[in-house]
Amino acid sequence: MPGSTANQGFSFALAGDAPCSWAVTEQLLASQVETKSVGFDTDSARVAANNMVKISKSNASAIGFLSYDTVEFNRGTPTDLSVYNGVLLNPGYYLIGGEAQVITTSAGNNTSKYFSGGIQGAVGFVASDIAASGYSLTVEGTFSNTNGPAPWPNTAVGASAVVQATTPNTHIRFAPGGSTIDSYLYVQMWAFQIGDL
Amino acid sequence: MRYTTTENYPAPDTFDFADAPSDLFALASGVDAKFPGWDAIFAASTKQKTFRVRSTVDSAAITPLNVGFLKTPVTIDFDNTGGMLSTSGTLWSQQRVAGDGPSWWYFGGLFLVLEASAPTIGKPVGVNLAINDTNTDTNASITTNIYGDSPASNTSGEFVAFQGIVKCYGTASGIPTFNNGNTVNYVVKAGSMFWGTRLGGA
Repeated sequence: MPGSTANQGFSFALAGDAPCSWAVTEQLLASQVETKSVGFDTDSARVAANNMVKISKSNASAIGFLSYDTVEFNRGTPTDLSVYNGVLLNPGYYLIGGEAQVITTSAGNNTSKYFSGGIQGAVGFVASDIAASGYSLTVEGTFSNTNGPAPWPNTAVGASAVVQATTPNTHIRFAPGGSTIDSYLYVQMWAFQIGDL
Repeated sequence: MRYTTTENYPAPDTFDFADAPSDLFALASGVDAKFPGWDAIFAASTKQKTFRVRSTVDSAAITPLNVGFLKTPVTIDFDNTGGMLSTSGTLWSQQRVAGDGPSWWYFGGLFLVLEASAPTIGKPVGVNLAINDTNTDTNASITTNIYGDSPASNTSGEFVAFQGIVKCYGTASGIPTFNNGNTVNYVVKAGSMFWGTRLGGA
């Protein structure tokens, strides 16, 4: 019976082992080291390329419900543009964000933007009212292009947060909304995985 | 015994059948000693340090040209940093991780503040996250400010976002304060929050 090292359990021959088994032990050691090395190769790739995703929509006609139509890049984080209309997070810590750029055509715009999704321990912001929820996150930015003289400049609103996803397919969505006649120039949302839980 | 050029693993110099077990033991032990350090590094690299603190109640009224804070009690939504809240509840102290040197951190937050009556449109309301630390090389005190502001609009309340990257040396501590630059009272609403995440060694 070969010996094994204290930390990794790597095999080595003992003097009392039959000499004809030494080669087998050496083969076993090589195999064990190879298995360990493959794990590091996998981890190296994981660390060097954190999961991240960005989806967007350009030139939507009018502010209201917005369907994303473009996955600009996606590395390891699924998207679902047909049902959830957003991003599906795997468990982990994330920096998420979103921004809506709006072509402004009048004064008095008053548009709210918000994220929603199932993220543990987060908080819901709904307009001026805040409701805490254990399984939803809504962060919101607002803009108002009020009382200024024409021409009214294009404007943008965005929000970001560090969040925790605890279950697979935790979905988040940056959902701009509001009541205005203006149109979207570009709406984007992204998620960058900070690390594992 | 000879040694590999890169990792210094031992191998027989000349073949001696009687030495084979001890040679194999030396090789296995050499490799074995190398791997725990890598295991620790990889485990840490996939579990970046991060925390988030959130208020659970509205603050008292903050009068014009004065500052206010998150109202206690606050809750820690998540934390694996080893940081801690002060007993007063709103000062976050970020301890240096054992064995770690100075690090870059991303700090940020999002406050919702609500006016008590019609605000003066365009006058600012803002948040300042002041992070105090000591440069461990020079022993000099450092204060890094992260600002965010939002001119008052005709909406019901303002969202104030703030974020920045800060080099932390030792036990950095910070507390976000709301600055009422408007002409009416404001409250900092429950749900306002701030966070931090370690980006990497400096």
